[in-house]
Amino acid sequence: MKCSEARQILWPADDLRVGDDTVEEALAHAERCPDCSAFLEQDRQVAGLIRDSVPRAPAPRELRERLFTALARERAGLDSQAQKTRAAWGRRWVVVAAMALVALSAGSFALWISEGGPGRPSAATAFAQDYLRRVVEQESMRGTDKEIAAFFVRELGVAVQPPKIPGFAVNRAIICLLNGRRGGVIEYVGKGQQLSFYVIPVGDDPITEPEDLRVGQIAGDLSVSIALSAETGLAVATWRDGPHQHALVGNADVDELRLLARRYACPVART
Amino acid sequence: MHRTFEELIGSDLDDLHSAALCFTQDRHRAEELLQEAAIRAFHEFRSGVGPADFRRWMLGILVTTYLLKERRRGVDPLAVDVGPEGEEQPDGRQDAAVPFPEPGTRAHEWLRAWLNEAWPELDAGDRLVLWLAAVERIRHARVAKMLGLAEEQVRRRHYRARRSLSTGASRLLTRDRFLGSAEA
Ligand SMILES: [Zn+2]
Repeated sequence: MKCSEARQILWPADDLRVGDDTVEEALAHAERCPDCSAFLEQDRQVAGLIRDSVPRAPAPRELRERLFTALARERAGLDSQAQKTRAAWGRRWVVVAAMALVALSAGSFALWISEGGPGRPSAATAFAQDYLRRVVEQESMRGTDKEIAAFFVRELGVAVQPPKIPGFAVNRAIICLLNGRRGGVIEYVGKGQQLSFYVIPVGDDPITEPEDLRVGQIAGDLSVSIALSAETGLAVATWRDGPHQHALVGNADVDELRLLARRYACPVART
Repeated sequence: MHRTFEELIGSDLDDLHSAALCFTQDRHRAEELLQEAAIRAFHEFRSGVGPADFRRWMLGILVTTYLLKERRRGVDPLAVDVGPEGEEQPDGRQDAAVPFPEPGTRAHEWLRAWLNEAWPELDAGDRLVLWLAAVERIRHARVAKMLGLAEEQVRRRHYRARRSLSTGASRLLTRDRFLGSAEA
């Protein structure tokens, strides 16, 4: 076998090939021929170097955010509508997103609920269900209440102080992306239960100044209507105060969540 | 539980972005390409796909979208398939064997840096094939299907691109100045 034939059969040197007679013959040639073995060795080295030196460029955060926002719109089936009515988004924000904590055994689920009626329940639920765990997580951190508040100021322009819930400890704070809006989530754990508290700024105007938002006082009183729902084993409470949409989601039952939600919504109810 | 489209693409986004940037050689166009491909893939996605299959499938859509977008603006990366004489396939020529530096040495790092810079100099079609065949390690027959080319064309482009980088690297390594300074 000629060198040129052997090389044509054995190139690329880093490729696996079926060892038929021709390949065997070419391999035997390369073993005896120093030029061909040098050629193949160099080819292997070049292949390694190519893989090693390939220009790597992580997707910028803005791209990630833009992409997931676009996907969220696609999933909600609202793309064209959203294009036309972008300005009205804040006022027409009638959906509440809720996402569960990463469940210990069963993974996590999310819900997307129409506040005032049927709306688009199937698309909305499907959308939320797909927004699981780290897909929606933009940033997360663990720290003291003060550090968490500072984190939310930095990321959202809202100083959310984690409310204290007896029997629950703050696990971490997360920035999430729901239906194209950035929001904050505080995760709690306790007694085999998990709880997520959401703050999603939905005001029409962009937030320019950090607000001194005290979660326990935002609702004023319980005249604020708390919508309760249960799906896929999760309880969800939702309410809105002015420019913020809130949700409380947990693997608790609905009655228990109603009691817990009052702690978030009303300072009087909090201990 | 099946992983969702968003989860799957989230894991591969950095690699897909690197690929898009390599294909387009332009940050803005790479981002546009990735977004368009992702939306398209989202609508074609069927759940139940594992991460490895998803990556390959998504890469296929990225490539198709890239070619479509380029052709839409009157450029066909695969239109011209002519390389320098004698660089189309392995032959019996005896090149001077240049020992490559060991990983971890300064010369090796230098060579890597040079290769990194050499990618943009490749022909767009050859670059595309090199990425798929050498970086993603997709077999020629499969790459041919992805690009709508004959397998032989893919092999030729792959060889040309690889040889171009290999020759350049060898030249760099034989330059006294380089060796002198790299070992210093
Ligand atoms: Zn030989």
